[in-house]
Amino acid sequence: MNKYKRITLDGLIFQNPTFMLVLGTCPTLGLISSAFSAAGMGLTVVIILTLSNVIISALKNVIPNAVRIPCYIVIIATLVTFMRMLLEKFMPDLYDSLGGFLALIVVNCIILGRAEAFANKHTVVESAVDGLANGFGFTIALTLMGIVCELIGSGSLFGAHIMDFTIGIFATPAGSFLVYGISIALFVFVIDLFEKAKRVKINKLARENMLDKEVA
Amino acid sequence: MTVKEFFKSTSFKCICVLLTILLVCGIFLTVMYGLLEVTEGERLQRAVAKVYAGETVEIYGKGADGEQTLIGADEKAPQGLISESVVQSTSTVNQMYKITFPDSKRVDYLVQVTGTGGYSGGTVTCWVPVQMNEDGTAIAGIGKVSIASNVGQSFIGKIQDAMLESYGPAYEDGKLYTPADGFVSAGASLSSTAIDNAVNGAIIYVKSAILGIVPGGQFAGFDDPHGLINTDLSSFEAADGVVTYKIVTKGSADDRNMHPGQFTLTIIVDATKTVDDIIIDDNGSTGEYGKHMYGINNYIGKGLEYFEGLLGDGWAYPSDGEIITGATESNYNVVYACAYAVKNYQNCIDRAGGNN
Repeated sequence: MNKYKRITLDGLIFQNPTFMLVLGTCPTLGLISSAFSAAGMGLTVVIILTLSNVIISALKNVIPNAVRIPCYIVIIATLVTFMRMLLEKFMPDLYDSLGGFLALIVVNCIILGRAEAFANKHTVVESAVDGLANGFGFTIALTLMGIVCELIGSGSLFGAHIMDFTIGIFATPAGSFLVYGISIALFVFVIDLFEKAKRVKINKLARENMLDKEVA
Repeated sequence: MTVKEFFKSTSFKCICVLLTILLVCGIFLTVMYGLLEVTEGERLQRAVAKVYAGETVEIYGKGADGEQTLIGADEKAPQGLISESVVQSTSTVNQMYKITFPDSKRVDYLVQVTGTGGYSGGTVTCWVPVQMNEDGTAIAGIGKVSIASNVGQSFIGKIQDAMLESYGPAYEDGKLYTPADGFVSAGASLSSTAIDNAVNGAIIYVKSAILGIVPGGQFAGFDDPHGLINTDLSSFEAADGVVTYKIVTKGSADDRNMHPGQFTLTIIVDATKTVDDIIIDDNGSTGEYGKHMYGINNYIGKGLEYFEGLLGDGWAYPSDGEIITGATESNYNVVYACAYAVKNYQNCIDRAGGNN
């Protein structure tokens, strides 16, 4: 498999930061009661994660191993502050809706985790692809859960009123926790089915090969 | 280790790299801040755009000569009509701008005001458009309120636009807003209280600064040893020797405790200077605390001696006694209001006789 395709599929599905690695739980639980906030947070993380991966990968041979974590934190904090300035200037509504969670991206374990686990061992291009894939994996997960929570909890979708029936708890972090748990279970179930089907296919091929060899 | 060895060591390299990264990041952020800074003028324009969406307005502030001056759209640091913040009982007025409409004679005052009494002692800062009548002699209504910022209000996102738009249609001259009147968003009741206080603060300030009406004048000179009664929101009527109070307490205004929020009470005091009836119109207790409150029926038929006995010397917060129940702060607000009502009975009668 092409390495870029593998990196992309890992970030989006097989190593999805939200559903498979259960990283970035704090903003997930805090923001998925609104699909707009969830999507906004996800896209912000895409930009910060990609830029931090690129910069850290580019500097990996310059930064001494002993001070790599403080250096990563300074770089990530700078990018987060820069994003805050951009959002406050050009997207004030999104800036307000993200509130304190925007500043907390500095300590988001997805970003530091990808810097430590991937960016400092791979090329700039690979790191950029990894950042984009993981960021979009996070964004898609948050947005899907945001849609469910907002629809059931507030009867709306991206702020537009859809229905009058609501279940209040889904508009709270407790409801978000419930949706998060169910989403993880469903996601892992589907991945397991996929892996199982893949294993069956491989075993079948292996048996056919063995039979071919025996016949020969 | 010699100096030469130190300069060749990994430690020195670490220091250099870390400091270089810090320096580069610092310079980058400084430059970006210069380019992306959101000026006060921009914040004002954003607030006006939210409050007066789709309308053409002119904003007037105070010029260098002290006269009202038209504020340009690109002005970075506009000066409002207020030189210093004005602290009121449950709000602080930060700034005020005069808004005019080229197509009509209408005049608004856009007030930026911070309401207290929010969750955990926090505040909510709002832009409140106070609309004047045609000849500028009275407040005609309140426009759509816009939230500018908040301190410690985790559930501010639950404040609904419907609530922020509802102040205008409900405006009556002389009336101020309380959660008891329905100005509250579910799930963010204490934040709603802070917004109510901000809106009320804007009304009181415009009445005082523009119309010259003294706030809380009905209660001027009344005994209130701890300032727990919100005289801006409270009122009384006296007839046939019976005084009917509508009392709003400040709840946690003295920072002793984060609980409760403000209480709104109807207290009737009869000619015997005892409580004839008491109704809690809005219970400021938070969470489940309200269940532990001392029964208010105990207060009916009681006079000042009884209430002072519950409160102790100087109506101070009691350290022991009957109202220590698990909802002591809530009990304190209610008992204090009863003591206030009974003690000031004669003041009310005198003031009513004086054509109040």
